[in-house]
Amino acid sequence: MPFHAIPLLAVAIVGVAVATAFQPAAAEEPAQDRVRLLDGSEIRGEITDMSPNSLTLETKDGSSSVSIEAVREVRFGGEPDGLRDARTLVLRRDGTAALAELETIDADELREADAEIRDDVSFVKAAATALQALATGTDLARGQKLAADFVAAHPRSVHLYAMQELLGDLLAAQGRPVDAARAYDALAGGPPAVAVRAATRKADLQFREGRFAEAQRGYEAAAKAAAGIKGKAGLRSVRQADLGRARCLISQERAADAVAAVSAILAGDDADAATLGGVFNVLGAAQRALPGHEQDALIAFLTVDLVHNEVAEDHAEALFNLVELWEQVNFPERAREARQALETTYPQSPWTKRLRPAKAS
Amino acid sequence: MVFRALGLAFFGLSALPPAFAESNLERSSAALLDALAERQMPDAMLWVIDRARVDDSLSADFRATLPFRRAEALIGLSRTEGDAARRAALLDDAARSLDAFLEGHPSGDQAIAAYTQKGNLLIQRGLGAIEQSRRPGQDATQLGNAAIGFFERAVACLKGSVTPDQKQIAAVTTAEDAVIKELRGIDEQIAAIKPPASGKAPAEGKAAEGKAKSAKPPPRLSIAQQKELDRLEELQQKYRGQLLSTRILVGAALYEKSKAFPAGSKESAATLAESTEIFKTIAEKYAATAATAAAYSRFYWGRNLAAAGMHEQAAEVLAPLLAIDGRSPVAVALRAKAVNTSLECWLATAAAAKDPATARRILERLDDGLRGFVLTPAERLPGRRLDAEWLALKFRAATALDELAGRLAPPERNARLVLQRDARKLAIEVAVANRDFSKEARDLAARLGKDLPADAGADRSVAAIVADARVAFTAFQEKQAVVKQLQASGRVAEAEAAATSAAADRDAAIAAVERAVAAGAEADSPADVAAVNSARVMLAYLMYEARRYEEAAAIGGLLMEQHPNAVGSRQAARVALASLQQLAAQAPPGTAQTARATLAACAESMVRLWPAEAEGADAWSVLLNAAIEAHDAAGIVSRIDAFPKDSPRRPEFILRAATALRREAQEARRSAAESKPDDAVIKGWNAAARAALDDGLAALPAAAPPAGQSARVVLSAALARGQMALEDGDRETVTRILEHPVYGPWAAVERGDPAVLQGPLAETTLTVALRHFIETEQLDKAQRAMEALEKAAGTGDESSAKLSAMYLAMGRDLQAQLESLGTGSQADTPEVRDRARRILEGFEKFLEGVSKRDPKTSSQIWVATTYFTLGSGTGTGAVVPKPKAEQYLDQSAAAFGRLLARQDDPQAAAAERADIASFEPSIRLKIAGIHRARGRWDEAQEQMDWLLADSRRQNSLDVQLQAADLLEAAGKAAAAAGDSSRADTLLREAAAGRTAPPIVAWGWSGIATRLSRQAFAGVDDKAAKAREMFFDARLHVADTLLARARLGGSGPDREKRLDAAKTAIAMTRKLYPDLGGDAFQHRFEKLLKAIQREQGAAAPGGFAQLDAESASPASP
Repeated sequence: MPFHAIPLLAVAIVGVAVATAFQPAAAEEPAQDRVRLLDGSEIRGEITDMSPNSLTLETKDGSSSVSIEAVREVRFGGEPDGLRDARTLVLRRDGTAALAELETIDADELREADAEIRDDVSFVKAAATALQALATGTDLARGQKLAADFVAAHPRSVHLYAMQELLGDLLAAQGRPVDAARAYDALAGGPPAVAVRAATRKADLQFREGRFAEAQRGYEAAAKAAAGIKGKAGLRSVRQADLGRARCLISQERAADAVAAVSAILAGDDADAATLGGVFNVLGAAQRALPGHEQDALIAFLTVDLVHNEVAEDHAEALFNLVELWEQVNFPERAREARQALETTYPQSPWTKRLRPAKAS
Repeated sequence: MVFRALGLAFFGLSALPPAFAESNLERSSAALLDALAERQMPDAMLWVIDRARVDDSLSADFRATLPFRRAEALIGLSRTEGDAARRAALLDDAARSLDAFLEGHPSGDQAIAAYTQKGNLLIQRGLGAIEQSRRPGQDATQLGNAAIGFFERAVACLKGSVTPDQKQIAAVTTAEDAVIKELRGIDEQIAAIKPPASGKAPAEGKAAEGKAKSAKPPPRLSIAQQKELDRLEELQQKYRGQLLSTRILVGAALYEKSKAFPAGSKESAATLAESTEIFKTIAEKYAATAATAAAYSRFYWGRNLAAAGMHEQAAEVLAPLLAIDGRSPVAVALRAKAVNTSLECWLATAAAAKDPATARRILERLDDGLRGFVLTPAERLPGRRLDAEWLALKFRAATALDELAGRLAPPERNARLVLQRDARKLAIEVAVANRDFSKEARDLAARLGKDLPADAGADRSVAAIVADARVAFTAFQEKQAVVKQLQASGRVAEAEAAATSAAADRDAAIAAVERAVAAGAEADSPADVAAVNSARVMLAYLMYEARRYEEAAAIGGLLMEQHPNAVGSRQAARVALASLQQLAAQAPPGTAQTARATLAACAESMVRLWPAEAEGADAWSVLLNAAIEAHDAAGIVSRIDAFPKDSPRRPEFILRAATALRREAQEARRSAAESKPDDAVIKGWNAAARAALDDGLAALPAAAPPAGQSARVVLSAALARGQMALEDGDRETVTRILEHPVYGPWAAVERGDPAVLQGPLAETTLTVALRHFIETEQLDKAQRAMEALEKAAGTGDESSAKLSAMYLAMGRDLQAQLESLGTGSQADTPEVRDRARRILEGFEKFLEGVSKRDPKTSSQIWVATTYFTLGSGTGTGAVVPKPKAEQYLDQSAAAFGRLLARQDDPQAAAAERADIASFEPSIRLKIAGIHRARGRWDEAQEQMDWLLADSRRQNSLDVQLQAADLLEAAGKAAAAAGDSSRADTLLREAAAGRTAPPIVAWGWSGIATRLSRQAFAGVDDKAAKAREMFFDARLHVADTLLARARLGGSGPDREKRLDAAKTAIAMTRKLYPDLGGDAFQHRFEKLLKAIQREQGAAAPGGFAQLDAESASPASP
């Protein structure tokens, strides 16, 4: 074989290298409390007061009060990195990973931390345990106990409603819809968007029991109530109710209507990125229910897998559907990759358990 | 490799930035397209794009970006397209899409992305044209010119036209101009925020000091301003990087263009110089501010010089790159490139050096540090494998070290051995990779292996020994490939010589691999265990090739059981399976049985280990074959149930299994009563076969009919299912199956599938189709089926007989179907009668048509034989009324008669008359049979006498049996009619034979005599059949005597004949005590009792009475 040069191999690498060479260094952040809001903005300062309904910060511009329904995340200045990462994982509903992340927190560091940080560790631990139980369907009672203990021990926590909702979820998963509804009722005392959430979650209970028409009415009522709430929180509540309604339509063999409902959500420019995974999953489910729309369904689930994969449950659901759809349209290698991603990333997920048994290698 | 030219666009530009506010769907779709591009899923990108193009909910702005996305997807598709013409078409389509996008005059990042993408694409097209020009039979000049055109267009698309002093950029038409425009915009924005630096240099001395103190500090920026400045500076760096990337791409296009010109031409040199100048400028100008881009440009600069034959200068330019110390993939890759090109230069300059000392000094530039670098094992490289760059690098390094070793003085023996050892190690690495330079590396390794003493400090690790063995193994494989090529091209003598040489290489490889396996016997590190297992895989294969099947099976079995997850274990298991199959087929009976048991165990292990993989499917196939060969219907059912549901080979497997199962069910139904399974069991097998056939056929891909061997399996299965439906009277299913576009046997006939044109499958397909079309009165198709059947019978001497046999078989199937209808539990229901009537009507109509319009002998024979089968079925009474049956028989006789008459028809062709003449005996035998069935004894006898008048036909056992049977039947009929005299004559002739020259009939007694020798000569099937006919004939002898005794009323003749009948039985029993078995004993005793009854015994004692009589003293 004659010698020959390899002329263009490096061109792509040059591009990467050039770009990397010009990356500016990141600036160091001061240790302030940070409240991240649903609209993507952030308030920095010192948190001076917290309650289930609101929190107050002293910022350089003065005192500022924020309703809890507008808050996505609260970060405390000086909190351990492990706590921040674990909380992020809880927001992605990945309880198992969050618990593993909590293990990285140094016990001595925690002992010396502020009470709010220690309380937040308790919250993250209880929430992660609850999410892990919900994801795997095991240890539900233990999750329920930790959630109930947190609610009892921290009646003024900013996380009270979130934990109350998880408590309802755990009860629902144990087949106790009446107790679950009672737990959700506690949300009714919160700010408007939280109160609407109570209605949505109770409709979820009806959906779970197969009472699709009643659930649909519940979602529609919740959406109507949420329509009057201003800001991102109201919009988010409307979207959640709309999504529930779309699920009901699929279950009532009105998949085309469900596609139209979800398309309306997607036509807007206001969806919270974290919720889009769920939206595309419902779109994919609706399209799967329509004969001849396998490619549309694939696109929807691929969007979750490759773009909106932040929330573990949504991602697992999409991967499960991709395994089946790739097999259906005769792409076995892609099906195998999706299966591998599901099995390795979410080994305990109920979606993984729904897969056919893994083949021997 | 050439596709990587497009990588830049994918890196920097695939994330096409939005130029408008996006909806949730638009944002998500754009991100999805980016992700799909990154994942290299261009087909899915096209799905998204195609949907987006027609989605009204998406904005016009978003849809305007789709042509760019489409181009990106098409370029992605072109990467995996193997066909050069289709690849070019995809790229052309992509270019059109990019042009459509550019027509919208995009700006900013979108313009940069589009122009760069297009430039890259044109480079790709140019490279494709050059690649094509190197193929034999291509017009190299024309393609070279086309390539030059592509590269020129690429440069025009990439290279900027804006000069530094040009203030305004009115219209952007190139990637570089688009970047410059953005960069200038950013520079202006930065300048607007940042205060301008003081233009004057500070003065010297105290005055200057005072001035400096009084100078105003630059105004402090607000946080927002600082943030904006940070953002802009970040963008500035990005665009500066893009500017350099674009210029490098221009240089690359020019370099490729220079190669497209004739070598050594002025144009080539000028273009190469232009390219070199670009790289040189970047390398020198940006060494401090953009070090990586400058380093790469330095490499291209050196490479260009090397390409121009300026090896010394190239080596000097590249020298700084040889010392790159970084371990990042980018640093390692760049250093490898630089060392590779440097080696090329050193080898060239050393070869041209006038004195050995200079050459040695040049080669010594490959110093210890570089030697360590080139010896980096593949697993430690960033990609964990040797790519083309590294293979070239290692081989060149091996060559350089070898040459250097050759230039060392004799006292430097140790240094030389070290160099040779390293050279050999490198050569083995390249040879084992079996890609670029493998042959040259193998030769070098082999030569160095001979030069090096055994104790030369060579690496004797297990991995090294296995690598050595692999070299020998690969050498054998290459020889083997040559043998196959020679055989395929019909060069027999050369193939034989090559085969002998290959066998020697194989034995050498076996020795080498066995050494490797022995060396690794105690290996415990994972790497060594993996190496020795790979040697075992080779050994299993080599042993199989050497026909040492037991050893091959043992090695393959060991790997499968002990290292099932090792690389190559599956392959080895397949070798074991194939070896055991050979042993089972070839070994002596005892050994073969053991091999069969081992084969089954091996297959069971494989299905356990790899149930749904290809290896498991092979093993399942072996297990199924075993069940089929053993006629183990239950075993077949269990294999169908156990075969993995998700295996892609399930449809073919279950179709094969179900076809065999149906055959077993049919055989079982036809088997003798004592060995016949319960009807419920057979029904269960049929149900399982039906379900599996339905599942298997439904699971076949809907795209196209199967081809090759699987076509035969699929068509056989479909045929079996069609036959089942035909038996069930399910005409819709028969039609659906036969005419299914993918697997339908009749559809296959219609499209001329070779699998159903000739052979048993064709014959069964056509007879089944013919039956179905006749039954459903699709007479045109029936006619086509008949014609196809005639073609299937061929044109040789045997074709007529073959065709007749096929028609006869079809008639028998039809008869069996009618019998099944006539004897089933629903036999007497109106539904069954109606079904039978429709079948008969269909046949009548078709037969009538054929008999009138198709005078061919074969067609007329078919008409006659089918009428015959319709009229002579023994169990069809319930569905074919007697008058109808008699009518069919008469129609059959008439058809046969017409055939015989054609012999004397002057209008018939000579060939046809000859054809009929050859069939005349069998036609007359058939006619005789029909007349016998219709009680027309004289007519039957007339035909029989014609047959018996010829001395050759007199020796036909079939004819003699039918003749004796006819005489006996005619005699008994005459007796029944009261014509004792005629009856006596006929019965006597039936027993003793008839001789009226030239007619000779043996009679039952003569038949028995002629059969006796053969009947008791052996134990084979033929002897058994003869024995059966012998005892049957002896029974008839006694029976005719009894019949004759009954004619005479009372008197001595009667007694005499009864005694003779009894004696016939007694003698037979004395000579052959078992009388041919239980069934015959029963028949003989029954006849004996009838005789004894005629002799006056009120309670005849049969054999016991016979024995008692023979034991008592004779009467006085």
